[in-house]
Amino acid sequence: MKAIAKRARAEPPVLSPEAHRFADEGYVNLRGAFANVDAFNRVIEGIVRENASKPVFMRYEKFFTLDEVGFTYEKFASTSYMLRLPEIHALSAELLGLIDACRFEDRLAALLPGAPRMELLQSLYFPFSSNQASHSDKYLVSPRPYKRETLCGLCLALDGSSRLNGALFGWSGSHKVTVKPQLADYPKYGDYSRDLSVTMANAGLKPRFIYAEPGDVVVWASDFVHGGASPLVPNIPRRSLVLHYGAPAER
Amino acid sequence: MKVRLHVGPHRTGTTYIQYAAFANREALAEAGVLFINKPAQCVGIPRALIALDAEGALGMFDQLLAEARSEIAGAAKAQAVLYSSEVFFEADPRQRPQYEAAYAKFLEGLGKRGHEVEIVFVERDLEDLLTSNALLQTSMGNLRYVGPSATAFLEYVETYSWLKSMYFASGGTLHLDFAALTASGDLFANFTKAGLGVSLASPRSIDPSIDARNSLTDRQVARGLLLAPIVNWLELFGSVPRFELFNAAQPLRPPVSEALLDEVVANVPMLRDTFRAVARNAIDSFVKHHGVATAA
Repeated sequence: MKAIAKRARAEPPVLSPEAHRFADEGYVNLRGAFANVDAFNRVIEGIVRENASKPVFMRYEKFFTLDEVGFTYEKFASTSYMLRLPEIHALSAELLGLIDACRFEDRLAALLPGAPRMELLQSLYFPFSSNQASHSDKYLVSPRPYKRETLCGLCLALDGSSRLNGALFGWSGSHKVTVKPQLADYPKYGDYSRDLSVTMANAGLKPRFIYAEPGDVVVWASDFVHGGASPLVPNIPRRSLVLHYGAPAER
Repeated sequence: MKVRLHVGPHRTGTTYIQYAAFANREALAEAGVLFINKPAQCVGIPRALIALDAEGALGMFDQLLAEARSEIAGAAKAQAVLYSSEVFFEADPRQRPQYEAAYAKFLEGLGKRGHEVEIVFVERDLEDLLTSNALLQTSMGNLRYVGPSATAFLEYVETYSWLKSMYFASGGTLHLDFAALTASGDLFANFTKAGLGVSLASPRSIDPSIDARNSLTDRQVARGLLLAPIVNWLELFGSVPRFELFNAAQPLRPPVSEALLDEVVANVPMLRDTFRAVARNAIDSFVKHHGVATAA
């Protein structure tokens, strides 16, 4: 009996179809993962309005106030100017409460081998497509020590995405390409993205759009190569809240 | 100072001339010509003009000139300035009046700074130029010239004709013949002698791959045909311009076997024939429409 019980424990856990897909392709879209899209949008609008005169808005790695770039909230929401709002979760207990209530930690643990304990590392709010060329988050996200292989990026869709407003895109299977160009070796981000794109194409991979509806959460793996597509039509919003989770480093 | 603007056009050895001139900046300065491009392929001034920002173009000119004066040994001896970019031929014909106004303002600004502008233009047989351009574009995955229609070629000729006329009408022009520049000897040496009145005793040679990148083999054209889907996707959606992709640390490989690539390569000569024929049709249409005489 003892031997049977031991063998049963050694059986690999049954993985969900989502976990299989995540392991194979490097990303998965959790359809309808959160229902309170309107609540997220309402709270985020309040955060942007309340912080308009604070230098918390980022454009090309520099921080600005909305006043400094001549933007009101309405203009921020309707004019693509490559603005983003990093660490938005730290600006509002209400938003953090909404995020916590979604229990994304549990969904992520179910996707990863060994079901690690995950915690929120950082956040970014985008009113439009990030328009960011191909990159991997693995060595770009470094708010505090964590196990890099467990890093997960989550894109909470607050608007639907399409080719018109610039959907997320990714190179399916790219997380399995072990040798990649690293940003630290390049003076220019564009050169890094270019060489990473060539590396992916030469590995036989192809970029694909990852479409999402409001309430979907696209989750990508630590070394998954992805980006925000250039929109075909400017100034169509694609609001999204990007969260990064990881398992804390052992001390 | 005399400012020589070498405006190209494309496919007349501009890349080679720019890299060679950059490698020989000190020798050119000693000979009286300050080559202000930095880097060798310096596109800021025409890009600013295309964006209709004459003040921005003038600011860049001032900056490049100041940097060249401080960085290049022998700069004090120079009596003339050379700036070179074929991007002057990338202006959008839909913004013709605005571009012409920006360019006129740019010339006026240079005049106010005490400079006298002379255009350096290299003329290449138009059929050769159109064919060479179509091959180059195809090698980079731009397939707009692939087909029997002359429309894309004709649009190119229309823009080329407009810009050439505008540059020629804007002041003094030095009109060089590409066939003569390439007939014998080194293109750069011939260019400096004919265009600048300078003979460098022993010019520094440049990386041979720079020239090779601009000569088009059947294999390069075949690669462009096969890579077109991903090159265009990345340019349109992925924020990676096609020129950048072809400058990557490792070459972009076509997504097919070497055997299949060889089969495509074997078909490229037919494409060359087609390009040349369609280019001829486009020139004939242009001449018929505009009622101009040609020697061809």
